[in-house]
Amino acid sequence: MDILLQQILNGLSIASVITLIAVGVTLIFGLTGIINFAHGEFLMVGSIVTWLAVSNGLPFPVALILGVLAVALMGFVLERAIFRFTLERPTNGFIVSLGLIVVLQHIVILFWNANQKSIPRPLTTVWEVGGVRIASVRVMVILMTIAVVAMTYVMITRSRYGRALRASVEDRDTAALMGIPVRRYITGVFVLGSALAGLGGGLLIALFPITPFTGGTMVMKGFAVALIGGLGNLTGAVAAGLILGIVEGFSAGYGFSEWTDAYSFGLMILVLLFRPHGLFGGTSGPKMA
Amino acid sequence: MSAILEIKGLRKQFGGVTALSGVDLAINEGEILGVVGPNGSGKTTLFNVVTGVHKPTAGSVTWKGKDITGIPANQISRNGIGYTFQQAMAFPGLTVFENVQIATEHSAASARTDFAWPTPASLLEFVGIPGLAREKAGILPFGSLRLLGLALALATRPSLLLLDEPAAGLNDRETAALVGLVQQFPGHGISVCVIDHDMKLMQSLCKRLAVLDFGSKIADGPTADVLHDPKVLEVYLGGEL
Repeated sequence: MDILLQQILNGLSIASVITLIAVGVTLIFGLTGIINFAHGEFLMVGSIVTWLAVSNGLPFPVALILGVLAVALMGFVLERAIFRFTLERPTNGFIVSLGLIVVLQHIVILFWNANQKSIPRPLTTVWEVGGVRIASVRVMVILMTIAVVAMTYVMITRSRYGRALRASVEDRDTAALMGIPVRRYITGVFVLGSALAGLGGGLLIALFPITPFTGGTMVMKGFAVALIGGLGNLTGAVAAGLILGIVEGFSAGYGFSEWTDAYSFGLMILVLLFRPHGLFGGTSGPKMA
Repeated sequence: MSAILEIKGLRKQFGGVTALSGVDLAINEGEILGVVGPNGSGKTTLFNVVTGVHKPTAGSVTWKGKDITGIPANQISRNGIGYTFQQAMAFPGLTVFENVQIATEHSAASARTDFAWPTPASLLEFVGIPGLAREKAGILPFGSLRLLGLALALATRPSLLLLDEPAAGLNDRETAALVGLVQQFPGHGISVCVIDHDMKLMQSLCKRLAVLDFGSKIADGPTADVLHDPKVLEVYLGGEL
C-alpha cells in the first residue's frame, strides 16, 4: 500500500508535465486545427533554457520563468513565420511540425551536444508520512500544474477572452462576424500553449535528466492524454492526465513498471476505437470556411 | 435618402465559376431592401463579399463614404455592418446568454451609444427568447435558434443588417413574428438588406427590390414595379407570378 501511494504520487508528478503538454495540444488543435507534433520539442527547449539558466548560477524559479518566456517567444515566432500559412491546410501544418522536430533537436545538439542534462533538485526535502516517502519536488510539480491549469481553466470559462476563444473554436466565421479578431486569438493560443510546454519542460528537468530527444516520448503521451480526454476539450485533457497518472502509478506499484507506457497507449487505442471523440467528447477541430 | 452602402462593379470568381459579374447596388439609409434571384444567382456571395467573408475579385464596396473593399470580417463587423447567415448562426456549445454576451463584448468601443438594446438580456427580451438564456444554444429548436442569430447580429450594434434567408425553415407564425421584428429596425437606426425566395415575405417587408440573375443585377426599383417587370418574370419566375 505504501509503495502504491508512492508510485501514484510519482505517476501524478510525471502526468502533471504530460497534462501541461496535453492542455497546450488540445487548445491549439481546438482553435487552429494544427496538430503540432513539435510540441514535445517546445517542452525540450523549455528544459534546455532552464538548464542553461541554472548552470549559469540563476536560481530555479528565475530559470523556470526564463524557460517559459523563451518557449512562448519561440511559439510566437513560429506561428507568425510558419503555422499561420498552414491554417487552411492543417495536414501541411502537421507535416511542417514533423520537420520542426528534427530542426529543433539539431539546433539544440549543435550548440549544446546530445548528452544528458540535469540540474540539482530545486527542492531536496523528502517527507516521511506513515512510511510513504514524499519528495517535495514532486509535490511542487503537481501543485504548480494544478495552479496553472486552474488559472487557464478560469480564463477560458469565465473571462471575456475565454468566451471569445471558445466561440472562435466553435465557429471561426461567425466569431469574426461578431467582431472577434480570430487571427490574433490563434496567435495568442499558440503562444499560451507554447508557454505551457515551456513550463512543462522546466518542471520535467527538475524531476529527471533530459536529452534533446526527450520531447518525443513526452509528446506521444501528451497526444494520448489529449485524445483520451477528447481533442479540443480542456476539462477532458485534465481528467485524462489524472487517469494516466493513476494508471501509471498502479502499474508501477504492482510491479509492471516496464508495461507503464503500454498501458497509456493501450488505453488511448481502446478509447479511440470505442469512443472516437474521447472520453469527454472533443471538438472536431475548427470549421473550415 | 442617401446611400450608406455603395457596391460598384463587384466581381467574384471561384476558380472558373463567376458568382458575381459586376454588380452595382446601393442601400439607402433607413430602408429595407430585398434582393431576390434564383438559386446560384449570387445573392449569398454578394453578402459574403460585402461582409469580408470572401475577398472580391474586382470592384469596390463603399460604406458611409469609406472604401471597405476586402477588409477582414471582424473589422467590417466593428464598422457597423451586421450579418446573419443562411444557416442558423450561433455557438452551439455556449449558452444563449454567452452567445449574445460575446457579440456585445466585441462590438466596437466607438459603436453607436444610442443603441436600443445595450445588454444581452435586453436583446433576448426583444427577440422574444429571454427564458432560454441559460440553455446551450445547441439544443434550441430551429425557430429559437434563428431568433438567437438575429440577436447576435443585433448585438454587434449594426447600422446596416444583412439577413440571408431569415425565414427559411420557420413556420407561418414564426415568420410573422420575424417580420414584426425586422420592421422595427429602421426605427432604431438600422437599415436592412434581406435575401429570400419567399415572395410573400419580401412583399410584406421590402418597398424596394433588386433582382440578381447569373451574377448580374437585372432589375432594381419599387417592389410592385419589379414584380411586374417582364424581364424579371421571364428570368426569375419562369413567366408566372
